[in-house]
Amino acid sequence: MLQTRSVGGPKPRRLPGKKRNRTAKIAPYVFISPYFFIYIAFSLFPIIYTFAISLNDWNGFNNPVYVGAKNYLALLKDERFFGALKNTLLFMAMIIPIQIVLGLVVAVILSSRKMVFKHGYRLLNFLPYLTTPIALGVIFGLMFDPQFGSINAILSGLGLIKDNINWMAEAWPARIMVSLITIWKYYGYTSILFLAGITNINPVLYEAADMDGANPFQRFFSITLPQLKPVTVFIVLTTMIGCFQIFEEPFMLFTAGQGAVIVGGPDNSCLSGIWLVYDTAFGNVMRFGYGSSISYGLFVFIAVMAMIANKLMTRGEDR
Amino acid sequence: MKMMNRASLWLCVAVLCAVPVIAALAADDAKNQKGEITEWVWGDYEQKGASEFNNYYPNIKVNYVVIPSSNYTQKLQTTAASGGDMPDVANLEMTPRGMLVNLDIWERLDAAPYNMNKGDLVPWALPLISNEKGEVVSVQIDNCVGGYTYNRALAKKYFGTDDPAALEKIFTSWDVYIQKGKEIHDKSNGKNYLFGGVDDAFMAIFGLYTKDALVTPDKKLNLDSSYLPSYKIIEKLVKDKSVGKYNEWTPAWNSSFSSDTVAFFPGPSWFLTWAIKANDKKSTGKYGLITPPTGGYSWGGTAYAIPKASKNKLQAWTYIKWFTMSLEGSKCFMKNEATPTLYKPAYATDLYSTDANKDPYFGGQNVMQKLIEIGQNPNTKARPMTKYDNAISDTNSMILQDLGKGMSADAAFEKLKTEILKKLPELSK
Amino acid sequence: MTAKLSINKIALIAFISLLSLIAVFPFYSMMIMGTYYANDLFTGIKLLPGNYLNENLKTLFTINIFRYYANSLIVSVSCTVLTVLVCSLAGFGFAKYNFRFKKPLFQFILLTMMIPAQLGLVAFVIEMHAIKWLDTLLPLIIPPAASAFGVFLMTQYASGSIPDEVLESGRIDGCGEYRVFAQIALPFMKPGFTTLALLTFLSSWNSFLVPVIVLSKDKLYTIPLGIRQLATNFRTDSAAQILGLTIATLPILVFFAIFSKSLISGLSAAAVKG
Repeated sequence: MLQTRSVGGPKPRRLPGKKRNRTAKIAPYVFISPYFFIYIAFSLFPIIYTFAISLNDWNGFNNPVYVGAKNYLALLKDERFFGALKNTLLFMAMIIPIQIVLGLVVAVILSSRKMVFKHGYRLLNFLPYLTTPIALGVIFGLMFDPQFGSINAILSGLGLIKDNINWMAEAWPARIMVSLITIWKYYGYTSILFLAGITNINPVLYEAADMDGANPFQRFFSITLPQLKPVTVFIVLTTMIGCFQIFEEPFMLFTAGQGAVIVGGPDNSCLSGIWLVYDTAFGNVMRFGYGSSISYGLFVFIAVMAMIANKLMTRGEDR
Repeated sequence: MKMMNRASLWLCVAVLCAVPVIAALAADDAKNQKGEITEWVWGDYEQKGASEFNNYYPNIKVNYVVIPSSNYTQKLQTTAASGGDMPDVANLEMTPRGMLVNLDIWERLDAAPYNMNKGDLVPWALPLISNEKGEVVSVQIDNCVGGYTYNRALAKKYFGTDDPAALEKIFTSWDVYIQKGKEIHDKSNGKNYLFGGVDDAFMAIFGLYTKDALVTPDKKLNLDSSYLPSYKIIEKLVKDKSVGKYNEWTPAWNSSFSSDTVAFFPGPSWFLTWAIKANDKKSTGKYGLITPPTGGYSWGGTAYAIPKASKNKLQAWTYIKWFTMSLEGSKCFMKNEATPTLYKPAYATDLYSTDANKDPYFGGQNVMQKLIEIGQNPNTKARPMTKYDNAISDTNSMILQDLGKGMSADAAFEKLKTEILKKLPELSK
Repeated sequence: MTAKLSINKIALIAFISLLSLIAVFPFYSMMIMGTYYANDLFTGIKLLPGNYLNENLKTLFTINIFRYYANSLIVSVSCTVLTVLVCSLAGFGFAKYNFRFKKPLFQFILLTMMIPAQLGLVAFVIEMHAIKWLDTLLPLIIPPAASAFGVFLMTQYASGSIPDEVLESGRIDGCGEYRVFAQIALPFMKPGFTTLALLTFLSSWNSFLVPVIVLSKDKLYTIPLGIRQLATNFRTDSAAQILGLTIATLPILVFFAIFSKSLISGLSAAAVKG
């Protein structure tokens, strides 16, 4: 899955005695056991139990009725499920490139030796990650309001649009809005990951480049970028997983913010996989069993996509 | 024999005398009812009301658990699913109610031991508290009947009068509304509107078409007598540009109240306080309230129900009954929330008709009494609920956006049905 | 050359300042919103503080806000400590030992990162009911401690920052494996802790969905849940809610400002070798 090449490269050790030998053999299992104990008890068990639920017709209140694979067969014909997968792919296409470029640019600027107030800027760019969701619903609802919102005011002030864009009622503007908000919230976090990567690049490499008289752009493209490849792979994969789990932002805008409750956004354009699960299990259809089978469908899709992405990005590397 | 007769006579007398005494004792027993109940709430009214409730029933202690309204149904659902402790009183908001009352988890209230007297409630509200079998399983507290609120200045300007009775004589059908809407548009050069937006107009219209439940017992969608005619009217309004672009609950909509560009707003009881007064705090004497052409409609409301899993059902019923079906409860609700209850005997008192309720904000009109009157209009009805109502209404919100953009009523209606079936594949057209 | 550089520099500063402005604005807005009357929030974006701060504070004190704060602290601190402990133990085990099934076990942990968090919610509640953990704070403290991201981070950190020679010399001095971990390895892993601690604290502090489902007693409510009581039957007091949440966010902000350096070095472990 995610890369595992780096997982501990333990060297063969001297083993002074039999007792030591035995403890050393047991020790790693003791170290990892608390994690697995808690995980199996409180995460894996519910997940497997959820699979059992997914084979039933159940709304939580009635007695579950065993239906076998019926929910999974229905899933294969469910337009909303495939619509949600499509939306997720669109979100990925809009969010990942921008978030990564923006995060990288910010990281490069903030790692420059000549830059001022580095710590201050770093903190400021991380603030979106700390802003309270309820407040975000109100703020973005106001900013993207078709008539009063500052976004439309700025766009028409710059002469970019003639008529106000109805962010809340048109499919594509709504998707763009959700993408922008998601990027806004997470680019600071991404940039910190990049920053961490840049800090770890061996300064000797840059010194050599300076001796060769490289300009900042050459330095960036010939040293920084290639050195950042592992970080980038990690960020792309985690952002991808993040895109699959988009839920809170559109949910907050279209059901908890201002305006009428529009489940899935205009024309279901912002209905994400998790939102579909939530709406099916807890919303106004109340089908736990079917909701659980959607969860499993999503999980399979996410795993396959992540595997393909990982293969593509690490192609040609020896494993 | 004689003795026997005399004895039985005395017995009869004794029994006849005892009946009222026992009845009184029983009533007293109710007052001395003891116990502790838990209610899940999302607001603060019940807690305010509890202090008065305890004046009458000092020995019933009520515990409150506040659950955010957006997670309320989910909490009920996960609690029931896990076999956790259900509350003794649950609050059923109108939006998920059709779905909730049709679950077999509530006590039937119009049967023993509760024997709720349906006749004490305004008849139109019965469908809103009953399940598909017609059993009453909840009692709604607020009389959320709606009229139309109008802007007096605009009414004078375009219709020549701001008197409610005179306006009701003009607006005798929705055809008149459509025609007047066009006039408003033309006379104001498109600056003023009949209704603020498609959502507002829809809420004002849809509640008038209450004949059929939205889904038939054999799981067929039955929207031809409700959504279709509503969409037809909205199509005309949009075409005539007599509705604005204020979408409900948006900032623009909030400010539309004080903009003086909109002639009519919907007007259920809670809307008067929480939408109009809250958004247009500074005005006075600006609004009036009239009856819609075919009687009132219902929008919103909170009902109380007793889960079968409750262990304190009788105390819970005493509590619900006091809040929803007693004079004291009605007074308390009026005092704290400025909203009438559905309890009919309260209408015979001067609780709502008193001149103290003449509200300067509404130009001296007694809107409480007006709402009671609309609620008693024989044409005021509510549609029987089905467990699918919430999902259908959610889909409708999306379709209204299309109607607002100029989609034809027929196309919108087809899309509505298609989208609903995607969500609810067990239904058919 | 210098002139050109400084123009570049100004352009960069201008760019990053503009971006920071966009990043900060909603946070600033959030702080301002706490000073307005709730209904006024929805009439337009506010740039200057309003005059309703005192009223909102008063509203905030009508609920049991200190109790919720204390509960949130108990939950977040215990959860953070436990997570850091569990994950650094596992991280150390994966990074510094060879054992059977190591690779599949590690890959399994990574795989679990892809499972949507909401997947097992209903089953989780059923389980919590069965073991009588409903209406306790335990479901908020113990289950999140098995954090896949945490194990990944600590594994990367331990394998990069603890030299094998140091561990070996500890063993030669007669330390058992567990003392080697506690006395020698742990100090090396400190910066990793800070990172994991901050991220865990943040998500535990903001957690809403699980508390809402497992808690039904007011005295156990955490801040995000307790604050939602600021609503009447017909209206939500968004302003007071936002004020409460803003106040709740401030400690995290201070924590971040102080530890941002070690946060970055901690993350670098995960990111660089990722």
